[in-house]
Amino acid sequence: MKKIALLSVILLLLPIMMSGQAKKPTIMVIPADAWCNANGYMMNYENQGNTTRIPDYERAVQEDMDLLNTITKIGELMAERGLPLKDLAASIRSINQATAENEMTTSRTSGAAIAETPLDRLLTRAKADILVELSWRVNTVGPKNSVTYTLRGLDAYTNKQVAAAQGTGPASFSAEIPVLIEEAVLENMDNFIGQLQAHFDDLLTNGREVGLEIRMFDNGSGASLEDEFDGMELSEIIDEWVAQNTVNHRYSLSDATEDMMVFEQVRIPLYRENGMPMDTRHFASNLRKYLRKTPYNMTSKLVTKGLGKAILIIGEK
Amino acid sequence: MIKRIFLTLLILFTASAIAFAKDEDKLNYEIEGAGTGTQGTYLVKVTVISKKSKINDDLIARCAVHGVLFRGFNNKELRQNQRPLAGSPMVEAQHADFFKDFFAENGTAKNYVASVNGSRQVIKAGKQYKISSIVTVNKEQLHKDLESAGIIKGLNSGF
Repeated sequence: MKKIALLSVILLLLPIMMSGQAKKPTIMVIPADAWCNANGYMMNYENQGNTTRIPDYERAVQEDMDLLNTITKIGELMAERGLPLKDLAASIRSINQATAENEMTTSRTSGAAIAETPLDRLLTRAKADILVELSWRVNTVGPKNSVTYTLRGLDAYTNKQVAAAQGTGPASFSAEIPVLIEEAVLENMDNFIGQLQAHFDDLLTNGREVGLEIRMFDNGSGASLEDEFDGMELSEIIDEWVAQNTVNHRYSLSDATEDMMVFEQVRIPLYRENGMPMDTRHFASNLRKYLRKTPYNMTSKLVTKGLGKAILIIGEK
Repeated sequence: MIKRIFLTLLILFTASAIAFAKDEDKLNYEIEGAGTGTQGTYLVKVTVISKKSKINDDLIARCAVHGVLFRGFNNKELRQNQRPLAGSPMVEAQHADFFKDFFAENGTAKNYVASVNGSRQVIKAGKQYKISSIVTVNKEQLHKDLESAGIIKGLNSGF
């Protein structure tokens, strides 16, 4: 009997124990725009009559062996420290595969294709919590070669640079370029990982930093953030909710008018109440649910932009 | 009278022996980069400052590991600059008990180091000697072992 009771307790606690771990940040190494431009891996993209140049990652990873070797070496060193990288080439292949499959998928009854807006298509891109931009340049002075190497870790939630390593290695008469690049990676990786560690420590202590915007639909209802509920304006109520739901009440309200509020440096917890990982969408969705309840009874539309920004538009869906 | 002189000499000898032993415990050394090591290792030049011209390899090895962990090293000529592997020199004070045993003469610190043959140099500087040697430190294994001992954090700690 005792054994059954013990087993039941363990089974009940197991999901909590398993879900009590925060999601490991995903990291992906990509070539920097400057490197792609210098090496001819750019493509033109027509955007409503304007030509925009964007990096062609697919061609870069397919054609440049030095890039592939460098990404592989960085991945190997990161895996040794317990954090394997999300692979750029594999992510691109997976996106292409999914796009092809989606285009071929139709309904059996009406033959309808999968609905996809231009926005959906635009958002289908290789994503990671931290993007590591890699760039190098070979400097040649007479018979001597040296490599200038740059590695920048950008937090996809805030676009802040959270780790970096940059430097020019010693000049060499005899070493081949791939060897110089490998030496630059080995020489710079520990300092880079050290800074990344400091960033992760900050995440675990102070929560993840995201942005939140509140907007109002101009639907003629006359509703605004100045509407009062029990003597408090709606903007004050939202401000109070954000204060109560951020880690150590850390956030800043950078702009507020009758129609919008812009919250920056919002530190959201890494876990939800049920122990599952928290993200920007869930955080903003909690606010949406709060405003849905009485006495506010407000319908809102939630839109997320990238990993680190949510826009809650109040008024309708 | 002879007894007193003998006693005084004994006290002085003991005191100097204790002071010398404390000097040894202090790990008086300098560290600088000596080039890029093979993957998973650091190549460093360690210079131990000692009153003796002959010291064993173990002392150099302990100094090398201490330097890599808590001081970091650089070399302007080779454009090297490595921060302390432990993250901060404060870690040594936070885990003083662990590191006391780790850096002891019979501790495990020396196991992470291999000397480069023929690199030892001895220079007399005043009343002391500067004994330098180029060594490789197996930093990847050192990091893993200290991480599993809970002394330093890994990238996936807390996740």
